[in-house]
Amino acid sequence: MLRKSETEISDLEPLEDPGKVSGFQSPADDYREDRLNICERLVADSVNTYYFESDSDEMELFGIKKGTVLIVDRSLLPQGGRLVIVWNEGKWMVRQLITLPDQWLFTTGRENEPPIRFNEKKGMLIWGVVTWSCSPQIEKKKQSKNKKPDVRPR
Amino acid sequence: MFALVDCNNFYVSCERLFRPELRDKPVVVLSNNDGCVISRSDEAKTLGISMTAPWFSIQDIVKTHQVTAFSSNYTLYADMSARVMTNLARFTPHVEVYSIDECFLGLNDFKYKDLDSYGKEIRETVVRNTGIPISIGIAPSKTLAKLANRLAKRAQVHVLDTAEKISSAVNEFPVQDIWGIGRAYARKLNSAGILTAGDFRNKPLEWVRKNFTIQGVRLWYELWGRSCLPLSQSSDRRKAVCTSRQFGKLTDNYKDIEEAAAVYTTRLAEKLREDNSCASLLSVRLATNPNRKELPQYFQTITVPLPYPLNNTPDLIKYALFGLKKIYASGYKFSKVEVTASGLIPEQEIQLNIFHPDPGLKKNKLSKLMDKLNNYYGRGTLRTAAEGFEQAWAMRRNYLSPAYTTNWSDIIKVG
Repeated sequence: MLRKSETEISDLEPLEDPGKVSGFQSPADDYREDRLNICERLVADSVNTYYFESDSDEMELFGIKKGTVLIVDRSLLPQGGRLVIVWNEGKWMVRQLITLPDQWLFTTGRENEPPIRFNEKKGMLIWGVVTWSCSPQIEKKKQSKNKKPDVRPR
Repeated sequence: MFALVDCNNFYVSCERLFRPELRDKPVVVLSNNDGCVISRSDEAKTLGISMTAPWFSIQDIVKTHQVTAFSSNYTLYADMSARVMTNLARFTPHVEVYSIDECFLGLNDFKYKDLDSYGKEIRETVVRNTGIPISIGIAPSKTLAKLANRLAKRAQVHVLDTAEKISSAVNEFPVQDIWGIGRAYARKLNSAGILTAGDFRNKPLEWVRKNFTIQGVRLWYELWGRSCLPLSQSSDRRKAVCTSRQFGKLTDNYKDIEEAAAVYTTRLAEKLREDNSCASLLSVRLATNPNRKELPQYFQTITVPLPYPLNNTPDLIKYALFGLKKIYASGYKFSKVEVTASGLIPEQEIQLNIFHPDPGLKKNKLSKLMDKLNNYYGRGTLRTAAEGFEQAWAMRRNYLSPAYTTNWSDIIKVG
């Protein structure tokens, strides 16, 4: 029941193994290593990693804008200074956690904005710790208005 | 020692993870086609909603108590299950994933560890990393671990590690709730005056040998804490593969049924290729709804021998539709079509047929490429036209949640 590893884009390339030669054996054969894959840097533990996306500029000061993808690791403990995914009164948000001796606060880092006080009794919840944020630097192509059909198995 | 780890109300727990507002609310998950209840939160259990209660029959409770219902989102459950199982497997090298929400762990390597605190550590880790609540039963045999798990529900970790703890547990445990005791067995035991697991194991072994099969003897040993059932690795190669689903509504439209058969055959072919097997027989079964007694009934199955073992989608669809055409009869409202592949042979061991020089190798390759593309771009990106476009017959999934963890367009947006 364990999930299979995902298909890599290179599996779909027309040339299956660019190092396979018909003539002279490649002198580089013994020195080949796997090409860098950004997942190795961004995802420490894929089993416990989840993804969220920012739809506001609230966390601009942390480089998080609308469209930024957040990499969230649930196996890490929330600590002061870390960015966390918070569920607060029906809303999902990303905030920096500030731990004071008597209370925990969530802040956007903006000076004129009062932080939110962590209150478990109100059903507030820290869902996970943000490990990386990835922001697109090239304008996104406008997506067609037609909603992508649901192609999950029926 | 064995541990049996069980995810509490697994499907409901998966839905709640991404809907925290439902944490203490009554929630149910419905079976395919939104037919009946297959998973309930504790609050829903308290309301008296029973397992397999038909959805239409609980509408009153749902309205008065604001019960939230979900269609089954197996895409999500499969991913969450894999996350739970992988986390568990990090605690011991001996693992048997028993079902989508249950797992046996072998703990013999941890003789010098306090199993109660190790159990708690396992539980805390899984709950933190996956958000899925679990309960753990730990005991010297799989049967006792399963029994301990039933007792764990409240305490979350329950260890039966001494003869005293085991005997006080089995003496109160109803015999029909023991793992592997079917209804017929339970009746037989009850009529012999055996009401609890303790009653059973207090019978002399000779008596058990005389009255029951080897399974009974194993059970007797297991209840005494002597393990007879080792951890089994994943089940052997499948002997047959079947895909079937109910239609969203009854239909007598041949085109609809044809489309449904093509879709299920496609899924069947994918399963075969995942297993690297080829089918030599293909059966198609067409059925009306037996619960609609006022309608004329029709059940028919046909088995089509394939010219050579194959697993490519286009050929399997061709033979499935050939079979379907043979058994279809007009004038009936059909509720279900089922496609089964049997006579499975490993891909590498296909014998060629002298009368069919082309064993479909090219098409097999093409299908494998389709699998890769669909795996990368999402299931159903590339399809055969026989599957149709509108799929008017498709199963009802009115309360389906997003695929939060497997589809980029479904990930949660945060402010």
